[in-house]
Amino acid sequence: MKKVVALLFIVALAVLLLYVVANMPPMGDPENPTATHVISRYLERAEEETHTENVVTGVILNYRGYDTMGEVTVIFCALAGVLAVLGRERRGVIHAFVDRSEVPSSVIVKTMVRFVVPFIILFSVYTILHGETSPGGGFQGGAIIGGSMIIFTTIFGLYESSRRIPLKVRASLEGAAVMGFFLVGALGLLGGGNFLTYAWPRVARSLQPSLVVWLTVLVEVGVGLGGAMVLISILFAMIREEEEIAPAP
Amino acid sequence: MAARDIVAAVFCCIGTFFFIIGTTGLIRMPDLFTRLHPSTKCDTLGACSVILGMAVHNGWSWDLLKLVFIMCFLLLSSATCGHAIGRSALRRNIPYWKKKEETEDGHGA
Amino acid sequence: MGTALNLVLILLLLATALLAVNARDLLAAVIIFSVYSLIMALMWQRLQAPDLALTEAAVGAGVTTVLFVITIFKTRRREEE
Repeated sequence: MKKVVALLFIVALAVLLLYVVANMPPMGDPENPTATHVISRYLERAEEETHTENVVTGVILNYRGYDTMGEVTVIFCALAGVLAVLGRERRGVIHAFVDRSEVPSSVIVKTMVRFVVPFIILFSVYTILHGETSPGGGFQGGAIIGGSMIIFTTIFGLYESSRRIPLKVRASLEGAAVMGFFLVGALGLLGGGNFLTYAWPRVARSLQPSLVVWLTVLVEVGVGLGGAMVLISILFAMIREEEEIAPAP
Repeated sequence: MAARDIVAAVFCCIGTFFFIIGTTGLIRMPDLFTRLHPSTKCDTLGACSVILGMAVHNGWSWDLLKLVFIMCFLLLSSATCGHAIGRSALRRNIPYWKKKEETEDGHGA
Repeated sequence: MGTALNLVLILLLLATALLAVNARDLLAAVIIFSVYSLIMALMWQRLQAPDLALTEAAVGAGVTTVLFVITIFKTRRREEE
Protein backbone atom coordinates (compact mmCIF):
# COMPACT_ATOMS: atom_id res chain seq x y z
CA MET A 1 0.00 0.00 0.00
CA LYS A 2 2.79 2.37 0.99
CA LYS A 3 4.69 1.56 -2.18
CA VAL A 4 1.65 2.13 -4.38
CA VAL A 5 1.07 5.54 -2.81
CA ALA A 6 4.74 6.43 -3.26
CA LEU A 7 4.69 5.30 -6.88
CA LEU A 8 1.52 7.27 -7.62
CA PHE A 9 3.03 10.34 -5.98
CA ILE A 10 6.24 10.01 -8.00
CA VAL A 11 4.35 9.53 -11.28
CA ALA A 12 2.17 12.56 -10.55
CA LEU A 13 5.24 14.63 -9.69
CA ALA A 14 7.06 13.47 -12.83
CA VAL A 15 4.10 14.34 -15.04
CA LEU A 16 3.83 17.76 -13.44
CA LEU A 17 7.56 18.47 -13.77
CA LEU A 18 7.71 17.24 -17.38
CA TYR A 19 4.70 19.41 -18.22
CA VAL A 20 6.43 22.44 -16.71
CA VAL A 21 9.71 21.68 -18.48
CA ALA A 22 7.90 21.31 -21.80
CA ASN A 23 6.35 24.75 -21.32
CA MET A 24 9.54 26.49 -20.25
CA PRO A 25 10.80 29.29 -22.48
CA PRO A 26 13.84 28.28 -24.54
CA MET A 27 17.19 28.84 -22.86
CA GLY A 28 19.00 32.00 -23.90
CA ASP A 29 15.94 33.52 -25.59
CA PRO A 30 15.98 37.33 -25.22
CA GLU A 31 12.18 37.27 -24.88
CA ASN A 32 12.37 35.23 -21.65
CA PRO A 33 10.54 36.66 -18.63
CA THR A 34 13.83 36.50 -16.74
CA ALA A 35 15.61 38.54 -19.37
CA THR A 36 13.07 41.31 -19.87
CA HIS A 37 12.75 42.97 -16.47
CA VAL A 38 15.87 43.78 -14.46
CA ILE A 39 18.64 41.85 -16.21
CA SER A 40 19.29 44.56 -18.77
CA ARG A 41 19.74 47.15 -16.04
CA TYR A 42 22.12 44.83 -14.16
CA LEU A 43 24.20 44.15 -17.24
CA GLU A 44 24.28 47.71 -18.55
CA ARG A 45 24.69 49.77 -15.41
CA ALA A 46 26.17 47.43 -12.78
CA GLU A 47 29.68 48.66 -13.30
CA GLU A 48 28.93 52.36 -12.90
CA GLU A 49 26.43 51.83 -10.09
CA THR A 50 28.27 49.29 -7.96
CA HIS A 51 31.85 49.66 -9.25
CA THR A 52 32.32 45.90 -9.44
CA GLU A 53 33.55 44.34 -12.65
CA ASN A 54 32.01 41.01 -11.73
CA VAL A 55 28.30 41.62 -12.22
CA VAL A 56 27.43 38.60 -10.05
CA THR A 57 29.15 40.21 -7.07
CA GLY A 58 27.39 43.47 -7.83
CA VAL A 59 24.00 41.77 -7.84
CA ILE A 60 24.72 39.73 -4.70
CA LEU A 61 26.21 42.50 -2.60
CA ASN A 62 24.32 45.48 -3.92
CA TYR A 63 21.06 45.01 -5.78
CA ARG A 64 20.06 41.98 -3.72
CA GLY A 65 21.75 43.02 -0.49
CA TYR A 66 18.84 42.08 1.75
CA ASP A 67 18.74 38.54 0.29
CA THR A 68 22.45 38.03 0.89
CA MET A 69 22.13 39.30 4.44
CA GLY A 70 19.43 36.70 4.95
CA GLU A 71 21.77 34.00 3.63
CA VAL A 72 24.55 35.12 5.96
CA THR A 73 22.08 34.98 8.84
CA VAL A 74 21.11 31.45 7.79
CA ILE A 75 24.77 30.36 8.05
CA PHE A 76 24.99 31.91 11.51
CA CYS A 77 21.77 30.14 12.53
CA ALA A 78 23.22 26.83 11.30
CA LEU A 79 26.14 27.29 13.67
CA ALA A 80 23.76 28.21 16.48
CA GLY A 81 21.76 25.04 15.82
CA VAL A 82 24.84 22.79 15.78
CA LEU A 83 26.15 24.35 18.99
CA ALA A 84 22.73 24.05 20.64
CA VAL A 85 22.82 20.29 20.02
CA LEU A 86 26.50 19.48 20.49
CA GLY A 87 27.61 22.24 22.84
CA ARG A 88 30.61 24.51 22.68
CA GLU A 89 33.88 23.68 24.38
CA ARG A 90 34.35 25.55 27.62
CA ARG A 91 36.42 28.70 27.72
CA GLY A 92 40.06 28.29 28.73
CA VAL A 93 39.98 24.51 28.36
CA ILE A 94 42.71 22.94 26.25
CA HIS A 95 42.04 19.68 24.48
CA ALA A 96 44.59 17.00 25.19
CA PHE A 97 46.19 15.33 22.23
CA VAL A 98 44.41 12.03 21.74
CA ASP A 99 45.10 10.11 18.54
CA ARG A 100 42.28 7.61 18.24
CA SER A 101 43.21 6.31 14.81
CA GLU A 102 44.91 2.95 14.55
CA VAL A 103 47.49 4.35 12.16
CA PRO A 104 49.11 7.65 13.16
CA SER A 105 49.79 10.04 10.30
CA SER A 106 53.18 9.57 8.73
CA VAL A 107 55.90 12.18 8.40
CA ILE A 108 55.29 12.47 4.66
CA VAL A 109 51.62 13.35 5.08
CA LYS A 110 52.33 15.82 7.89
CA THR A 111 55.05 17.55 5.90
CA MET A 112 52.87 17.76 2.81
CA VAL A 113 49.92 19.19 4.75
CA ARG A 114 52.18 21.73 6.40
CA PHE A 115 53.45 22.69 2.95
CA VAL A 116 50.10 22.81 1.13
CA VAL A 117 47.77 24.43 3.69
CA PRO A 118 49.41 27.90 3.45
CA PHE A 119 48.93 27.81 -0.31
CA ILE A 120 45.26 26.90 0.11
CA ILE A 121 44.79 29.80 2.52
CA LEU A 122 46.62 32.09 0.09
CA PHE A 123 44.25 31.00 -2.68
CA SER A 124 41.24 31.64 -0.46
CA VAL A 125 42.52 35.14 0.37
CA TYR A 126 42.85 35.75 -3.36
CA THR A 127 39.31 34.45 -3.87
CA ILE A 128 37.94 36.78 -1.19
CA LEU A 129 39.83 39.94 -2.13
CA HIS A 130 39.49 39.47 -5.87
CA GLY A 131 35.79 38.72 -5.62
CA GLU A 132 34.63 41.94 -7.21
CA THR A 133 36.61 41.45 -10.41
CA SER A 134 36.69 37.68 -10.89
CA PRO A 135 34.51 34.71 -9.93
CA GLY A 136 34.58 34.11 -6.22
CA GLY A 137 33.89 36.13 -3.12
CA GLY A 138 33.32 35.86 0.56
CA PHE A 139 31.31 32.64 0.65
CA GLN A 140 33.69 30.74 -1.64
CA GLY A 141 36.84 31.96 0.07
CA GLY A 142 35.41 31.20 3.51
CA ALA A 143 34.54 27.68 2.42
CA ILE A 144 38.09 27.19 1.11
CA ILE A 145 39.60 28.39 4.42
CA GLY A 146 37.25 25.99 6.22
CA GLY A 147 38.37 23.16 3.93
CA SER A 148 42.03 23.87 4.59
CA MET A 149 41.44 23.80 8.34
CA ILE A 150 39.53 20.53 7.94
CA ILE A 151 42.59 19.01 6.24
CA PHE A 152 44.83 20.36 9.01
CA THR A 153 42.56 19.05 11.78
CA THR A 154 42.20 15.57 10.31
CA ILE A 155 45.98 15.19 10.14
CA PHE A 156 47.22 17.04 13.24
CA GLY A 157 44.26 16.57 15.56
CA LEU A 158 42.01 18.91 17.50
CA TYR A 159 44.74 19.88 19.96
CA GLU A 160 47.01 21.50 17.39
CA SER A 161 44.30 23.20 15.38
CA SER A 162 42.32 24.55 18.34
CA ARG A 163 45.58 26.00 19.63
CA ARG A 164 46.05 27.84 16.34
CA ILE A 165 42.47 29.12 16.16
CA PRO A 166 41.39 29.44 19.80
CA LEU A 167 37.81 29.82 20.93
CA LYS A 168 38.30 33.53 21.63
CA VAL A 169 39.15 34.26 17.98
CA ARG A 170 36.34 32.11 16.62
CA ALA A 171 33.71 33.46 18.98
CA SER A 172 34.56 37.04 18.11
CA LEU A 173 34.74 36.48 14.36
CA GLU A 174 31.67 34.27 13.87
CA GLY A 175 29.36 37.24 14.06
CA ALA A 176 31.64 39.23 11.75
CA ALA A 177 29.72 38.23 8.64
CA VAL A 178 26.31 39.31 9.89
CA MET A 179 27.54 42.36 11.79
CA GLY A 180 29.84 43.60 9.03
CA PHE A 181 27.15 43.17 6.44
CA PHE A 182 24.59 44.96 8.53
CA LEU A 183 26.89 47.84 9.51
CA VAL A 184 28.11 48.49 5.97
CA GLY A 185 24.56 48.25 4.70
CA ALA A 186 23.33 50.66 7.35
CA LEU A 187 26.09 53.06 6.25
CA GLY A 188 24.24 53.36 2.95
CA LEU A 189 20.98 54.05 4.79
CA LEU A 190 22.66 56.70 6.93
CA GLY A 191 24.04 58.37 3.84
CA GLY A 192 20.55 58.83 2.49
CA GLY A 193 20.60 56.04 -0.06
CA ASN A 194 19.24 52.50 -0.07
CA PHE A 195 20.56 49.59 2.02
CA LEU A 196 24.04 48.67 0.74
CA THR A 197 24.06 51.20 -2.07
CA TYR A 198 26.93 53.07 -0.41
CA ALA A 199 25.47 56.35 -1.60
CA TRP A 200 27.31 58.90 0.48
CA PRO A 201 26.34 62.34 -0.74
CA ARG A 202 28.41 64.21 1.80
CA VAL A 203 31.65 62.54 0.74
CA ALA A 204 33.31 64.17 -2.21
CA ARG A 205 32.17 62.76 -5.52
CA SER A 206 35.70 61.97 -6.61
CA LEU A 207 36.31 59.87 -3.52
CA GLN A 208 33.27 57.70 -4.00
CA PRO A 209 34.37 54.98 -6.45
CA SER A 210 37.34 53.93 -4.37
CA LEU A 211 35.24 54.15 -1.19
CA VAL A 212 32.59 51.91 -2.71
CA VAL A 213 35.20 49.36 -3.78
CA TRP A 214 36.71 49.35 -0.31
CA LEU A 215 33.32 48.87 1.35
CA THR A 216 32.58 45.98 -1.00
CA VAL A 217 35.92 44.40 -0.11
CA LEU A 218 35.12 44.95 3.58
CA VAL A 219 31.84 43.09 3.24
CA GLU A 220 33.59 40.29 1.35
CA VAL A 221 36.28 39.94 4.02
CA GLY A 222 33.65 39.93 6.78
CA VAL A 223 31.57 37.28 5.04
CA GLY A 224 34.67 35.20 4.27
CA LEU A 225 36.13 35.26 7.78
CA GLY A 226 32.74 34.74 9.41
CA GLY A 227 31.86 31.82 7.13
CA ALA A 228 35.26 30.20 7.67
CA MET A 229 35.01 30.49 11.45
CA VAL A 230 31.46 29.08 11.38
CA LEU A 231 32.64 26.05 9.39
CA ILE A 232 35.65 25.51 11.68
CA SER A 233 33.47 25.77 14.80
CA ILE A 234 30.99 23.24 13.40
CA LEU A 235 33.90 20.88 12.64
CA PHE A 236 35.39 21.28 16.12
CA ALA A 237 32.02 20.73 17.77
CA MET A 238 31.55 17.54 15.76
CA ILE A 239 34.94 15.90 16.30
CA ARG A 240 35.23 16.89 19.95
CA GLU A 241 35.11 14.15 22.57
CA GLU A 242 34.49 14.90 26.24
CA GLU A 243 37.34 12.71 27.53
CA GLU A 244 39.81 14.70 25.49
CA ILE A 245 39.67 17.67 27.82
CA ALA A 246 42.96 18.19 29.57
CA PRO A 247 43.20 19.70 33.04
CA ALA A 248 43.86 23.41 32.95
CA PRO A 249 47.59 24.17 33.19
CA MET B 1 46.32 22.70 -38.50
CA ALA B 2 49.48 23.94 -36.90
CA ALA B 3 52.16 21.64 -35.56
CA ARG B 4 51.37 22.94 -32.08
CA ASP B 5 47.80 21.63 -32.28
CA ILE B 6 49.03 18.19 -33.32
CA VAL B 7 51.46 18.01 -30.40
CA ALA B 8 48.73 19.15 -28.00
CA ALA B 9 46.32 16.54 -29.37
CA VAL B 10 48.95 13.82 -28.99
CA PHE B 11 49.55 14.78 -25.35
CA CYS B 12 45.80 14.88 -24.63
CA CYS B 13 45.35 11.47 -26.27
CA ILE B 14 48.16 10.02 -24.12
CA GLY B 15 46.47 11.45 -21.04
CA THR B 16 43.06 10.06 -21.97
CA PHE B 17 44.65 6.69 -22.71
CA PHE B 18 46.16 6.54 -19.23
CA PHE B 19 42.86 7.61 -17.69
CA ILE B 20 41.07 4.75 -19.46
CA ILE B 21 43.79 2.28 -18.45
CA GLY B 22 43.70 3.50 -14.84
CA THR B 23 39.92 3.30 -14.58
CA THR B 24 39.89 -0.16 -16.12
CA GLY B 25 42.52 -1.26 -13.63
CA LEU B 26 40.57 0.23 -10.76
CA ILE B 27 37.55 -1.87 -11.71
CA ARG B 28 39.35 -5.07 -12.70
CA MET B 29 42.06 -5.38 -10.05
CA PRO B 30 41.33 -7.77 -7.17
CA ASP B 31 42.47 -6.02 -3.98
CA LEU B 32 43.30 -2.60 -2.54
CA PHE B 33 47.04 -2.63 -3.16
CA THR B 34 46.79 -3.63 -6.81
CA ARG B 35 43.98 -1.12 -7.30
CA LEU B 36 46.13 1.64 -5.84
CA HIS B 37 48.70 1.07 -8.56
CA PRO B 38 46.53 1.92 -11.62
CA SER B 39 44.50 4.60 -9.86
CA THR B 40 47.57 6.65 -9.00
CA LYS B 41 48.65 6.47 -12.63
CA CYS B 42 45.47 8.40 -13.52
CA ASP B 43 46.62 11.45 -11.59
CA THR B 44 50.30 11.46 -12.42
CA LEU B 45 50.54 10.34 -16.03
CA GLY B 46 46.97 10.94 -17.19
CA ALA B 47 46.16 14.35 -15.75
CA CYS B 48 49.68 15.66 -16.23
CA SER B 49 49.71 14.67 -19.89
CA VAL B 50 46.37 16.43 -20.42
CA ILE B 51 47.73 19.53 -18.66
CA LEU B 52 50.88 19.40 -20.80
CA GLY B 53 48.68 19.18 -23.88
CA MET B 54 46.70 22.21 -22.75
CA ALA B 55 49.92 24.11 -22.02
CA VAL B 56 51.25 23.40 -25.52
CA HIS B 57 47.92 24.39 -27.04
CA ASN B 58 47.80 27.62 -25.04
CA GLY B 59 51.33 28.82 -25.75
CA TRP B 60 53.21 31.39 -23.72
CA SER B 61 50.86 33.29 -21.42
CA TRP B 62 49.98 33.71 -17.77
CA ASP B 63 47.69 30.71 -18.03
CA LEU B 64 50.81 28.60 -18.54
CA LEU B 65 51.97 29.52 -15.04
CA LYS B 66 48.60 28.49 -13.59
CA LEU B 67 48.77 25.17 -15.44
CA VAL B 68 52.27 24.53 -14.09
CA PHE B 69 51.06 25.27 -10.55
CA ILE B 70 48.06 22.97 -11.00
CA MET B 71 50.41 20.23 -12.20
CA CYS B 72 52.77 20.69 -9.24
CA PHE B 73 49.99 20.51 -6.66
CA LEU B 74 48.38 17.57 -8.46
CA LEU B 75 51.67 15.63 -8.36
CA LEU B 76 52.25 16.47 -4.68
CA SER B 77 48.74 15.70 -3.48
CA SER B 78 48.21 12.51 -5.50
CA ALA B 79 51.54 11.05 -4.42
CA THR B 80 50.75 11.87 -0.78
CA CYS B 81 47.26 10.37 -1.08
CA GLY B 82 48.63 7.16 -2.56
CA HIS B 83 51.21 6.93 0.22
CA ALA B 84 48.62 7.56 2.95
CA ILE B 85 46.12 5.02 1.59
CA GLY B 86 48.78 2.34 1.07
CA ARG B 87 50.40 2.84 4.46
CA SER B 88 47.09 2.89 6.29
CA ALA B 89 45.98 -0.31 4.55
CA LEU B 90 49.30 -2.01 5.30
CA ARG B 91 49.18 -1.11 9.02
CA ARG B 92 45.58 -2.23 9.31
CA ASN B 93 46.50 -5.68 7.93
CA ILE B 94 44.15 -5.56 5.00
CA PRO B 95 44.61 -8.97 3.36
CA TYR B 96 46.58 -9.33 0.15
CA TRP B 97 45.16 -10.96 -2.89
CA LYS B 98 46.50 -14.41 -3.69
CA LYS B 99 45.96 -16.71 -6.61
CA LYS B 100 43.04 -19.02 -6.10
CA GLU B 101 44.98 -22.25 -5.58
CA GLU B 102 47.14 -20.58 -2.93
CA THR B 103 44.29 -19.36 -0.69
CA GLU B 104 43.24 -21.61 2.14
CA ASP B 105 39.94 -19.91 2.95
CA GLY B 106 38.84 -19.58 -0.65
CA HIS B 107 38.59 -15.81 -0.62
CA GLY B 108 40.71 -15.27 -3.72
CA ALA B 109 39.16 -13.33 -6.54
CA MET C 1 30.03 18.57 -29.05
CA GLY C 2 28.72 20.73 -26.22
CA THR C 3 25.36 18.98 -26.27
CA ALA C 4 27.01 15.56 -26.05
CA LEU C 5 29.07 16.67 -23.05
CA ASN C 6 25.95 18.08 -21.37
CA LEU C 7 24.11 14.81 -21.99
CA VAL C 8 26.97 12.75 -20.51
CA LEU C 9 27.10 15.03 -17.45
CA ILE C 10 23.34 14.81 -16.89
CA LEU C 11 23.41 11.01 -17.21
CA LEU C 12 26.31 10.83 -14.74
CA LEU C 13 24.41 13.16 -12.40
CA LEU C 14 21.35 10.90 -12.51
CA ALA C 15 23.45 7.76 -12.04
CA THR C 16 25.34 9.14 -9.03
CA ALA C 17 22.12 10.46 -7.46
CA LEU C 18 20.43 7.06 -7.77
CA LEU C 19 23.52 5.21 -6.51
CA ALA C 20 23.89 7.53 -3.53
CA VAL C 21 20.28 6.94 -2.54
CA ASN C 22 20.43 3.17 -3.04
CA ALA C 23 23.79 2.47 -1.38
CA ARG C 24 23.46 0.35 1.79
CA ASP C 25 26.94 1.30 2.93
CA LEU C 26 26.59 4.87 4.16
CA LEU C 27 30.29 5.67 3.64
CA ALA C 28 29.97 4.62 0.00
CA ALA C 29 26.86 6.78 -0.27
CA VAL C 30 28.75 9.79 1.05
CA ILE C 31 31.64 9.27 -1.39
CA ILE C 32 29.19 8.92 -4.29
CA PHE C 33 27.46 12.07 -3.09
CA SER C 34 30.74 13.98 -3.23
CA VAL C 35 31.16 12.77 -6.83
CA TYR C 36 27.65 14.09 -7.46
CA SER C 37 28.72 17.47 -6.09
CA LEU C 38 31.79 17.54 -8.32
CA ILE C 39 29.69 16.77 -11.42
CA MET C 40 27.25 19.45 -10.28
CA ALA C 41 30.16 21.91 -10.09
CA LEU C 42 31.10 21.00 -13.66
CA MET C 43 27.48 21.60 -14.68
CA TRP C 44 27.48 25.05 -13.07
CA GLN C 45 30.66 25.85 -14.96
CA ARG C 46 29.03 24.68 -18.20
CA LEU C 47 26.03 26.91 -17.45
CA GLN C 48 28.47 29.85 -17.11
CA ALA C 49 28.07 30.28 -13.36
CA PRO C 50 31.68 30.04 -12.12
CA ASP C 51 30.82 31.60 -8.73
CA LEU C 52 28.39 28.79 -8.01
CA ALA C 53 30.84 26.20 -9.36
CA LEU C 54 33.47 27.36 -6.85
CA THR C 55 30.95 27.20 -4.00
CA GLU C 56 29.70 23.77 -5.00
CA ALA C 57 33.22 22.36 -5.31
CA ALA C 58 34.39 23.80 -1.99
CA VAL C 59 31.27 23.21 0.11
CA GLY C 60 29.56 20.26 -1.58
CA ALA C 61 32.57 18.14 -2.44
CA GLY C 62 34.89 19.28 0.33
CA VAL C 63 33.32 20.39 3.58
CA THR C 64 30.03 18.47 3.68
CA THR C 65 31.75 15.22 2.72
CA VAL C 66 34.11 15.48 5.68
CA LEU C 67 31.26 16.41 8.05
CA PHE C 68 29.23 13.41 6.82
CA VAL C 69 32.22 11.08 7.26
CA ILE C 70 32.76 12.35 10.82
CA THR C 71 29.07 11.76 11.56
CA ILE C 72 29.26 8.22 10.18
CA PHE C 73 32.28 7.35 12.31
CA LYS C 74 30.49 8.73 15.36
CA THR C 75 27.34 6.68 14.72
CA ARG C 76 27.19 3.54 12.62
CA ARG C 77 28.20 2.78 9.11
CA ARG C 78 25.54 0.42 7.83
CA GLU C 79 21.96 1.24 7.12
CA GLU C 80 19.63 -0.87 9.26
CA GLU C 81 17.73 -3.55 7.42
